[in-house]
Parts: sequence; structure tokens; C-alpha cells
Amino acid sequence: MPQKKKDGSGGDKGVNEVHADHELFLQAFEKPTQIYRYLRSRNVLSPVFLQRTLYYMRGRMSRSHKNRMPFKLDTLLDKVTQKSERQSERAASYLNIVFTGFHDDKLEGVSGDVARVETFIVKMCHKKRKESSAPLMQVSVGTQDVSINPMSSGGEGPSATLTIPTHNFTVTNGHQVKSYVLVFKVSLLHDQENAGEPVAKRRRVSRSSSQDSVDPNLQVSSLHNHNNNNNGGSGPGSEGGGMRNDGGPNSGNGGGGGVGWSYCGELVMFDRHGRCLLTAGHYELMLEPPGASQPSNKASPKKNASWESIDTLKLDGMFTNIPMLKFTLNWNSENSNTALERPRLRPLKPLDLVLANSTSTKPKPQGVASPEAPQLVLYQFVYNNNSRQQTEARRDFHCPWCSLNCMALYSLLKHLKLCHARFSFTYVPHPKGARIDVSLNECYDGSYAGNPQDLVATPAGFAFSRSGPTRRTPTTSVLVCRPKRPKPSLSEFLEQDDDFDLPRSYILGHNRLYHHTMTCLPIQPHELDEDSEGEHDSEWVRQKTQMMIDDFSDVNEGEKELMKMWNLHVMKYNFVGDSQIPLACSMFLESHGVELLHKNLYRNFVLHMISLHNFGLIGTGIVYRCVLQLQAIYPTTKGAIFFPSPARQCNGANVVTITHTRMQDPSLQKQLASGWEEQRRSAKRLFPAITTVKQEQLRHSSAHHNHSSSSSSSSSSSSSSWLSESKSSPTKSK
Amino acid sequence: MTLPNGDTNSVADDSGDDLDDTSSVGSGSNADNSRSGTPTPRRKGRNKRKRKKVPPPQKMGYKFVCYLKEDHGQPIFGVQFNQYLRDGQPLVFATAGNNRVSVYQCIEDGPIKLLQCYSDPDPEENFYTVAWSYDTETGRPILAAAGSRGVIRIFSLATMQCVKHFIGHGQAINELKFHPRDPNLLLSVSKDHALRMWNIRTDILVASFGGVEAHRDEVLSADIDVEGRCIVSCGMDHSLKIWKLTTDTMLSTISQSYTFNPSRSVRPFPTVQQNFPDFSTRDIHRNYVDCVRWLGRFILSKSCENTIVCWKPGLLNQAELKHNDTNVTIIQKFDYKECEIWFMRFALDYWQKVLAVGNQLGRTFVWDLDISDPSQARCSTLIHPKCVAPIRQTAISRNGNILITVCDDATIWRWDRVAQPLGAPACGTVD
Repeated sequence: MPQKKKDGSGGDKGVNEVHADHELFLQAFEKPTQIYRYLRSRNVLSPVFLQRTLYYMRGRMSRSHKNRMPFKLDTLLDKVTQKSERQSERAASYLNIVFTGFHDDKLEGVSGDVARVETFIVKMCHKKRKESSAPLMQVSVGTQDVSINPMSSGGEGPSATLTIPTHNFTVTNGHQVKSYVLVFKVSLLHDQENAGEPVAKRRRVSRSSSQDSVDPNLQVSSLHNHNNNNNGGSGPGSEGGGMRNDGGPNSGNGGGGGVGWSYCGELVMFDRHGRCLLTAGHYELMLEPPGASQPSNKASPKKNASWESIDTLKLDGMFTNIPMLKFTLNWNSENSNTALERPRLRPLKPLDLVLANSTSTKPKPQGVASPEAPQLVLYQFVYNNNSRQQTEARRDFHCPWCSLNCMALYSLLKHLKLCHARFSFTYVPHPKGARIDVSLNECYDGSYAGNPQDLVATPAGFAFSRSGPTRRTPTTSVLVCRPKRPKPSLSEFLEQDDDFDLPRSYILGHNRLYHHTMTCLPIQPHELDEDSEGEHDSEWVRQKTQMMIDDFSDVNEGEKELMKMWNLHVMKYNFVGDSQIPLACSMFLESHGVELLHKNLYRNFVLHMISLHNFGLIGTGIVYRCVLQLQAIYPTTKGAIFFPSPARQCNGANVVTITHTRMQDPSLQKQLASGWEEQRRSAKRLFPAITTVKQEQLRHSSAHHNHSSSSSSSSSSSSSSWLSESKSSPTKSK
Repeated sequence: MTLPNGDTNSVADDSGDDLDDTSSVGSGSNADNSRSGTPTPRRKGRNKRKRKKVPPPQKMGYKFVCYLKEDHGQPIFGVQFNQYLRDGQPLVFATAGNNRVSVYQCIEDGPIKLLQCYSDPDPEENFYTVAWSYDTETGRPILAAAGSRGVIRIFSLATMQCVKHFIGHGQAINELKFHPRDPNLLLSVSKDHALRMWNIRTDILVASFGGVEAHRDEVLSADIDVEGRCIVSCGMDHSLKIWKLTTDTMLSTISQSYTFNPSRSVRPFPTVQQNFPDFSTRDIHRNYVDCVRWLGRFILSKSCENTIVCWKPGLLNQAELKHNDTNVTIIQKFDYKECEIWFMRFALDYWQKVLAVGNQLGRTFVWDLDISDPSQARCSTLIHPKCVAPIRQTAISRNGNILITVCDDATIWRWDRVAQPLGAPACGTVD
């Protein structure tokens, strides 16, 4: 805190010493202070979070939960009935608006003229789902004449009273009206020629204006005649609105041309929740000058939400050149048109001050003078190996770095600790109040501890968006957590032993971002539970396998087809042992049996079985069963395929010719069974040698073709008992 | 280039003659004085112009207008005109160099005006490439840039913000291209041996082109043909590969990328992993292939061998691509000089009538492709005594009237086409 530096202990030191001490002080505290100063101004301009929502900032929270305490579910109905009763009460009363003047600096010359104010009630109805915009109803409730730029706020000048019975605003009038808006349209004719208008004409105008009230329920009382007469010479020029409404001739206006000038302004009476926003008082309503947009309810403030703060609002001069309609508004039980209370002139407070007090993002502290307020907060800056200290005293609970009023010592300490982690703070009770020892936090490394998803979200820093309230990342690690909070006590800020049991972070495990293996894209939180990446059998491996098999030049097309099917099958299920080969075969037939027959690969498959058998991977029984299984598929696909016969060889593979009638011969089956046993025994003998073959086949499935083509040649010399029985001699295709 | 100006001109003359010998053999003998539309007299005219540099050059002449230097002093690698701006709208181009992306406007017959400049927060970033598109909802321009960090950044020039970024590439990104038919599809080309196609509207990775039969080294350049049917890519593995975008999978995935709602799905978007190009060749170049563009059904590609090759996959009359096709047909070679370093990009104008490439000595070679016979393409050389740094990329405005070149010494050069003395139609504006 360079600017707050004080030489608390430097009374008898030499100048050089003081200077060196100052240098050391700066060295220690300058940088973090600069950072926090920057963060402070950024947070003032566009806050990331609101201080008042923090649990330790109780004092700053304006909302109390008083209503929650006595809440009972059963009282809901009572409340509603009470509310409706209140509304019916309201219906008996009146809304009185007394216009006191229309002010526009641009109309300086026509001071004293009369402007015509037409008042409408716009009822915005409940928006149905399919409607693009909410239906609007606009009801004119009266037209008054108001003097332009009245000289004084005294009793002179025309003023008009508008009385609106409040049963216009009851909710239960059949329509689902959501909100009521008062719209004022001011039309004026600043034509000096009309100054000498005959009184009769004016009377006519006033009559017409009272006839303007569309709603018969409305009573419009106009004081304007009376006041005009008082005014004497200053003639009104306000025929425009009245004449138009009457549909009468417009000739009396003398072609002043100012008729079209109409200003608009609107005031929300009841918002969408039925709350009355118009309280009694004096109003100065800014009007939109002619040519500006219509009094519209189109632009919802939600659409372009953004943080606004006092500094960005350019309020100076905003209210100076804008036309203004002044009126007094009150709710009354009777139709009061007599009491015309003029606003008293008060010395104007500067606008900044008003705003700072009322709408500032930092609400006016209420607990400043709380009884527990200490007399003094001493900040003791410890630096240079805890040897040097500088002391700084404050009399309030404002944070020295971000000028935030924390309103209580506990809040201040908590704020310092959490928001200014580059320092470490220790609380020491002090007879005059409190002392806070500030030293540099050696452990602070600035590492990011937030949600890792925020780092990759697009656009960058979306979660920290400063362009307005936005939706945060779709995930939070903690959904509901109600930890036992220790009672707020200052003892947690006292000097602690190292192993003080601080509340642990609520997130278990690490807080990391993961990435998809194939695309390297960050894994979205909702994708985390699903393992999207299979280890084997990727599409590209399947495709590459097929392409490599297609590249073989010494294998015919039928063999290639079978190789592809078999290899892809083995890859898919990842068979890893000899014992799984029979299973692989039957599964293969289940999934590819029909396709096999379609592609006319019956013989190729049988040959494949034989070569598996030759390598000792399956016994004869398995071969037999598989062939039976394949043949069992045949009847279901009858007619759709052409079953191989001796006359038609399959796909160029001139291999074993086994007809199914022969295979189903019972004597043959017996023989096969015995042969299978024998085969099992011999397979066991051969086991060590077989293992290597198997591994090669499974691991390098693309190499399968060598294996199978060689096996198809070796199958010709097969000595298996049932094959020799079948007396067919398989030959290699090429 | 320490040679005096006259000497450089003479060098340029020689190079022009060399070009004649290599690129258009046989046309040199047709010395004819008539100035009809036939290629021969044009060639004659060019020769004349090249001999005497001082008199106003004739067709395909560009004159130096101005240059400016970006203050970072680092190489500018990318420059692109916004081709979505039509005639009558401002001529806007963007450059990429160091950690900056700058947007400039060419004032009519005058200087270059800096409009906007974006700087990456990371000083280590080095942008290599920029690409233009527009927001399909608002019609506002969008600028995409990427470079050594492998992060694609999307800038909205109207709001002057980096509105999106895409991470996922494992290495630097060498080129960005937008789909010519769908301004939401962005193709990125990376050092990680793969290409990716993104839907920048829905932030979805549509496809990834890489893997077992894809590039085996850095991919340096890629281009999508005007109909959006095929991607051609090239890289450090000397190969050129063509990827079809019209397969059923690609088409359905692209359309799905518009409707996919990531928050409604527990599975990630089914990105297409394309491992297998539809055509691949290593027969065109013998070195790094660092730039490739479609020219109709032909392909223009260059390596660091002082030539731009115009070729087509398969035999000359073959219409369809075949996966295992080993044939390529070389149509034409456009030769130039002294461009042996890699990462030097050539450019075509919007109507594909002008071809321009710079060399490592700061000269720019411009060809007029608006001819019936490719062998008749005439080359002119643009020389400025101060422009001596390697020209990394060139860009030609939509109407072909302005040529921008960017250099290693952070300079940007503007060349304007000079008036046509014969009233011949300006390239790219008529026809």
C-alpha cells in the first residue's frame, strides 16, 4: 500500500534508513497491492459475483428471511384470498394524477402554452406459448391540457387532474392481464398565432377533451379552463389532439404545423407479478422526443442483459435536455380533484450522490454503527523477515485494497483471507479494537483451482463473462453440500498452528480435464460416465484389414471374402485362447452363417474348419458340429440362396465336396465321435507347438491368409478319419 | 538483392526467357505483330514489356502502390482477402503474423488502412493462416486464424471479439479453409498429420482426416473445390491426397452436426474418423508440398522445386477417382525462380484467372490463366528494390485488381493492376 504508507516506527531513524525501509516495504507489498487495485476497479465496473450473496457478508445482505419463518403451507390460501380482498379494496379507490407541467428546454419560447396530454392504459396480456408477442390492449383514459414550461412551481399555470378508478386494474376482469402500463402522449402546438384564440374555442376544446374519455367508468375532471382563465394572456394552442379525436375540421389550427409533435412516456403501474410500482409522490417522467421509437413494450430488458454500474452510466446531462412531464400522483379513496398540491421546491442534491445512495451496487451499509463496531482496526505490515513493521490504522471495516465495506470485523477478516490470498492475515486482539498482521503469503502460487471446464469453454472465459450474466458451465462438482459450518468466530483468524483443521474442499479426488483419445477434444462432463473409446476393433482397423486382404494376389475371391469375415469376427470378439475357438466358430456361424451361404462360401468355410482342425485348434467334433450348424441355417434360407452342389463349385475354390445327406448319416456320426476323441488326445500332445500358431493367428490377424492358404493346401493331405471316409480330395485352388 | 535496379530488371528478363523455354515450348517462334485475341501476340506483348520495364506494361501488368510494415518485425505468413465482399464494397484483407491478426482495407488507388488488429494473449503464439467467412445468421464477417499453438480462433469483426476457439489439434495448424458452399464448415490442416473439419456454428468436430493411410508427416496445405465435393491435401510426406466429402457418411454427419445437441446426449458427437483418402499420389513432387489449390477439376500444387504443377488424378479423360489409382496426368508446369524454401504459398483470385506466387528474394510471379491453352500462360515478374524478403503468401482481390504480398520482414506490399491499354476485359471482372 504505497500510498498509505506511514512511518510508524521511523521517528529517530536517519533519512537513509527510512528510505531503505520504505524500499523494502514497497518490495514486499507493492506488486500484490497493484494487482488487487486492478481487480478492484475491474470488479466495480463489472462484478463477477456480488458480495452480498456471500455467506460471511451477512451484513451486506439486504434480504431477510423473516417471511420464511412463519411460513406454513396451509396459509397459502389465506394469503391469496387476502390479496384478492385487498385488490377489491383497491377497486374502490382512485388513482389521481395531477399534471403540473410539461418541460422541454427546446420549447423555451413557448413557455406558458398548453400541451395536450393524452393518457392511456396499456394492458399487457399473458403471453400464450405460441404467440410471438404478448397481446396489448390500449385504453385511452383521458386527455388533459398542461402548460408548457410553467415559470414557477407556484399555483399558477394550467394544471389538470386525471382520476382513474382502480377497478380498471383488477386482475379478475376476465383477461389474463399481466401488467398495466400508463402511457402518456403529449402533443403540442407551439404556434404563436394561436395565442389569441377565442375563449369559446378553448371551451369547445375542453369539452371535447372531457368527451375523450372512452371508458364511461372514467371520470375526467379538467381544471384547465379555470386555470387558463387565470393565466390571462397566455393562450393555449392545444387543439390538435382534441380536434383530431373529434374528427372535426382541423382548420382552426391555422396550419401551425406543430400538431404532429407528440412526446411519449410510459410508467409501469403494475408489473407482471401484480405489484404496484407507482407509489404516491411527485413524478418527473422523461418523455421520448418525437421521432424516437414508439412507446413500446417490445424490448425486454432480459434480452440484452448487462452489468451496469454507476461509472458506466453517463447520467450527466441525461436529464437536462429531455422533455419532462411533471405530475403528482396519489392513490385516494375518493375522487379528489380539488386538492392540488404543488411540489415544493427543494434544493437539488447532486445526482451522483442520489444514485450512490440509492442504486449503487454497494447498498448503503446498515450496520455501520453496529454496537460491536470497534474503535480501530490496525493493520501491521510485516516484512523483511518479520523484523520490520509498519502500522496503519483505520476506523471502519473497509477493506484497504478494494474499499469494500465489510461492516463487521469477522466479514472483513474473512474477506481479506479469501479475496486477497497473496497476503496472509493474522488477527490479534487489541485493546483499542483489532490488529491485523499482514504479511506476504509465501505459499501463494496463483495456480488455478476452479472448474477445469471453464478453461476450455468457448468462448474463452465464458464463465467469467463480463458482458453480462450468462449461463455458467453445465457442471458443478457439488450439487448440495451442507457442511457443518463453525460458528463465525474471530478465533479462526488468530495465529494458527500449521495443522489446523481447516474445512477441506468439498470435491473429492482431483479436479482435472480429460480428453477424448481419438479427437483430443475435452471430455464434456456429461460424457464422463460413458467410456466412448474402445480399445480394439476400430472401424479403421476393420477397413484396413479388408483392404490388405484385398491386396493379396495369391488368394481367390471366395477365400478373401471368408478371410475378411473370419478375421473381422475374431477381431470383434477378441478371442484369446485355444479353448475359445469352438465358441468363435459357432458364434461366427450365428452371425455370419446366412451371409456365408449368400456369398456361396460354404466350401470355403468347411475348408477353413479343416485347416483349424489341422492346426489342432479344434477337434473333429467341433468341425462336425459347425458344419451341421451351417447346414441348419440352410433350410431357413432356402430359395434365397443356391446351395452348393457338386455341379456348381463355390467361388473358384475346388475343395471338399460333402453333401449334407452324407453328413447326417448316423454311422458316420459315430465314427466322427470316436475320431473326435482321438483328435483331442493328439491335440493335447501337440499343444506346445499349437500355441505359437494360435498366437500368430490371433494377434496378427492380417497374417491369417498365409496361415489359411497354407492350411488349405495341407488339408489335402489330411489324415483325419472322417475326411478320409468322405473320400474327397481337397485341392488348393491355385 | 544488392544488385542495382537495372540489374535486377535484367535478371528478371532472363528469368522470363527461361520461363518461356520451360513452360511454353514452341510458342516462342510465333512472332506476330497482330494484337488479336490469340495467345501468340499477347506473348509478344509480354516480351516487349519485359524488355522495357519503363513504359506502361500491358496486359497482366501490376504496378507497385505502397507497402507498410507491421511493427513486430516477424514474418507474416498468411494473407487473405475477404472474398465475400462484392464489387463496390470495401476491399478488406487480413494478415497473420507473430501473435497478431490484422485487418486492413485497401483504399481506392491509395494506401492501405489498418482497420482492426487482434493480438493473442500468449506472446509465443505465431499465427500462420487466416480465413474468411460470415455468420449465417447475421451476415457479419467472421475471421478464423490459427498457428503454432494449434488453437483455432474465430473473430467476429463486428463485435471485435474472439468469439470462439477450438482446441483439439495436437500440433500447429498450417492452414485454414472454409467450405465454399457452407460458411460454417472450417477445414484445419495441422502438423499433427491430420486435417479436421469443424462446424463453427455448433462447435462440433465433424470429421478428422488422418490415420493409417493419411499423411505421414505434417500436412501443410489443403483446399476444397468450389462445389464442396473434394478436399485435396498435401504435406511434408511429398504426397497429395484427395478426400471425398460426398460420401453418405460425410453428408449425414455434416447435417447431423447442425442438429446434434451435446447437452442432450451422453455420448460425444460421432466424429467421422477418415483414415483412407480416396486418392493419393507421391508422383507429382519430390519434396515438401506446401501449397495446393483446386483449379476446376485440376489441381495446382507446388513444392520447393521452383514450379507450380497443374495436374489431375488419374488419366486425362478419367472422370472418377479410383482408390488405388497410380496414374496422374500433369497438364502444365508453371516455372519460376529462386523459391527453394518451404511454406511459400501461391494464390488464385476468386475467378481463378490470376495465379501469383512470391519467391524468397521478394519477387512476385503472376500468371494470367484466362487463356484457352494452359501452355500459353504468360508470366510477369513484379520487382521492387526494397522488397527483398521471402514472400510467404499472396492474395488477390475478388476482382483481381489488387495483389497483396506479405513478406518475412513483416512488410505488406500492394500492387494494383494497371489499366488495359487495349480495352481488353480485365481479368476476373468480365467473362
